[in-house]
Amino acid sequence: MNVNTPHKASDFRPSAGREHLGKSPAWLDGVREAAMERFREDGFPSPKLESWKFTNLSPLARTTFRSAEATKGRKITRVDLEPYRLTPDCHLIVFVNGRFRPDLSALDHVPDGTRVVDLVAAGEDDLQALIAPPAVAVEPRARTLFDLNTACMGGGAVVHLGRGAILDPVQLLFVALPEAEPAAFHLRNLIRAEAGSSATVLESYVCLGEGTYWTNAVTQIDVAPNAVLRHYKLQAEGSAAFHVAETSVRLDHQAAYRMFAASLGSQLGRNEVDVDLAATEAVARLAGTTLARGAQHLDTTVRIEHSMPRGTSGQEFKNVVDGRAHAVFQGRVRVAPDAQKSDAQQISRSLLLSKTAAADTKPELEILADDVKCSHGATIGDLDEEAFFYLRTRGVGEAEARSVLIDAFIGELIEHITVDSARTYFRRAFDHWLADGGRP
Amino acid sequence: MTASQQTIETLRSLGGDYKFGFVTEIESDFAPKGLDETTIRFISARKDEPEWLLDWRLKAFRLWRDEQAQAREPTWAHVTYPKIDYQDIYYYAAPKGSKKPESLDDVDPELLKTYEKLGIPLAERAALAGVAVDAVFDSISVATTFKERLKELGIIFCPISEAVREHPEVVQKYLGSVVPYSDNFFATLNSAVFSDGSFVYVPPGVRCPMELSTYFRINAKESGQFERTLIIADKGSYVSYLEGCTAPMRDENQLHAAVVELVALEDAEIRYATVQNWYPGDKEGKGGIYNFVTKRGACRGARSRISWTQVETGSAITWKYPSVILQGDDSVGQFHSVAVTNNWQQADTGTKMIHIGRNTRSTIISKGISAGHGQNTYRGLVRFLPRAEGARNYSQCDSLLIGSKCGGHTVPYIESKNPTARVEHEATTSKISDDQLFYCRQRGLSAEDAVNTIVNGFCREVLQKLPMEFAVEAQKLLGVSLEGSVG
Repeated sequence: MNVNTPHKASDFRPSAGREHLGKSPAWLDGVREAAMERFREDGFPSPKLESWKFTNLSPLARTTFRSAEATKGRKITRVDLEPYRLTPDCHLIVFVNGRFRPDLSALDHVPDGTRVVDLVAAGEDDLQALIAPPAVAVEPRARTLFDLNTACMGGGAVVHLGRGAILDPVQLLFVALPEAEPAAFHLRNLIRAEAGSSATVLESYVCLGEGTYWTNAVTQIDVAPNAVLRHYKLQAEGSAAFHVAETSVRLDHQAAYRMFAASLGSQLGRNEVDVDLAATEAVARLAGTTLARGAQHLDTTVRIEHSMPRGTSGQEFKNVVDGRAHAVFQGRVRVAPDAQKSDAQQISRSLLLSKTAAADTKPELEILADDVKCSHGATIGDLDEEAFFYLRTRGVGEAEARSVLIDAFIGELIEHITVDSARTYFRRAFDHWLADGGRP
Repeated sequence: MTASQQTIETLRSLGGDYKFGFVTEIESDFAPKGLDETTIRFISARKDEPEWLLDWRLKAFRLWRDEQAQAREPTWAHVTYPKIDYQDIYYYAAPKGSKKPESLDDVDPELLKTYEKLGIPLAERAALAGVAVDAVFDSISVATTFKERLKELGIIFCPISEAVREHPEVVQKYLGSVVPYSDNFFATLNSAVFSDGSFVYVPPGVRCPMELSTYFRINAKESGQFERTLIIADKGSYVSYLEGCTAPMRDENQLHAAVVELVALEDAEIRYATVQNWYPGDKEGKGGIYNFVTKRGACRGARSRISWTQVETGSAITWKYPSVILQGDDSVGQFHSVAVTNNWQQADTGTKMIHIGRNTRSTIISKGISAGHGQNTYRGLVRFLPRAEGARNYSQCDSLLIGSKCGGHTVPYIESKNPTARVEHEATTSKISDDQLFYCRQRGLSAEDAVNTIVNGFCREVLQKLPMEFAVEAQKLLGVSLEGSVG
């Protein structure tokens, strides 16, 4: 698939590159066509749209991508993936350049009552859940990449937990092997946690080699009453990559969702998370960090909707920005009319390490019920001079002092990760970043 | 009787909810309804304006016409209203026979009575109140007090139309230098049709000995008010300025699109306070003023200071962002705001602090109170440009919700391009707690008084920033605005 005029994007063909999926239901073809039509109509979201105000996708829109195809030239083995695995023996589903690779995955011991499969094996129910619109509504023109994903999705993990099932942990590993010609990977994941189930899911996006490519990922998540989902995401794409992701979460009565997201890779990245507390007493706790350097532009956009009473949400996001990089945090909390007794807290902090770094923050509260507790706090600044001086007077070198303080700044966040192996995993990624190139 | 006492008396003596809803029966001189180039020429001719100003107006008008044709009216604010028919408005209304009066004796007694009812001391006995007043009635300024005494100090305080005639070089230099005619849809409209407003120039090193004040009154039916205020504080000077506004009760909406420009040179300080009490519409949300205002100050010189204080209780819709451009090194910008929306009122208000110079500092304190079906949005921008070494901002935005049908929203934009700049932003949303209410009720306060007490406490930080004369009035207004929102 060649896209010479990507702004119009009229050359994207939804069916191309999906032959491996076999015959899909007719209704799905209709959905895909309609989504493609919307994308053709509106093209890439522009900064004129309020929700894209700080992020300009024109470098992405200018690039011509071919469709995702299984790599022919290079072979990779399990050994190549070892550094990126959560633990040597956790359940693992691997996608290379957007395609499921059973040979690299480790799914033999997935417990009873749970299912971890590729999109190809998705049932009718799964497909319905996969194509649902994102949990929080925004203006349709801001969602055209979601539409493009719907039209072109060609792979992704379906994780299904039956009632009361426990799956601890499973890793979804997305590996890019860039080639000379840039490729686009439209991934669609689904996590469904039925009543009373509990799971830890780690999504990792990594790159072997150098080159331009585009990951356009959508992850749909449904958490049923009393289910618990711990969801971790590491974005460590290649330095020339584009990464755009939408995570859409629906929480039922007393469902609990915990997320930790770290964005380190890609030249231009956007991590969008939409959470709907769609029933009473749901809990959502989100935390994350963006570590940006060089000329990276990394955007985190979170929208939390308190649709029903007595929900609790918390957000804590931190950015560290060096070089000429640009970090964006947008966080909106909306409390619907009558969603009384909602409790929503949000903190965002940005650390600017160089004269040319920039940070934009837009925390936003939209409150339509009166008996609520909502607050947000935001700060932007540089390293605490006094703390820096303290370390220097005690003989700590300049670079090391800096690194200690940055480490302390993001270190607090790690506490949000409640699973030991995941904590170690992210710790390692941060240490790598602090030490040098920014990729584990 | 001081101005504030008078105001309280006025508030007490008049029954009903909105105390300033009366109409003064006075013959007015209108420009033909609607807006085209002839309207602009009519206004300009009425005011004997020089060529350059007419050209400026026409430039603005042509731009506005194009923008309107392309439906570029801003839609990003969190407010909803039916489309405004710009051809159904009188752009110029002046009390008849109003050649500029020489003294207050020449002023139409009907007008004086109006201001008496409003509690505005136009009469010389108001010397006791110690406030110099410029009263703007619909499109023109009807009286300016204390001009002579100010003149001795070299301070110019007069209607802007008079300044255009008598100090054209100053007006030409600064008009549109802070808010250019192309700034935004409503500022462009204002630049085309602005009729009157106040002009203040304070010479170097002079500290203005009294509060300067403008009182705006919309009286005529189906008219809009488009005043333009320009305040220049020369090096090392100081001026404090107050602005108040009212309008009659009418079922149709009336448009008020003003522009205020402040310029503070080296070491100068301008304090600008507004008590905005335009007619808010009735309990069903019928009528009321659309208050679409552009206010901006430029701290041009080093160590200059500009502070905006506003108490917004009136208007059906408020769309207003008093801003400060901090150009001079070490300059300071402040924004203190209380905005109340009750019944069906909507407010989208906040500020912009643009930090350009080194060590510039800004403070934002915003208190939003919503009751009934009111929708209250704080929208603010804090931006540090790369040169703003060591700049600081502190923002605090609190929303108080009274009743379950209203909304309180916070939309801050924070943009930093300098690592040494520091910004802290906090926002909270809450309701009046049952504990607080119970405590007050237990001590014998009625439910309404209890709410008033708590609301006044909530707004205290801002009310303290108002000059004394206004603080009392503002406190009273809060109570009146929230009447009927509890129990």
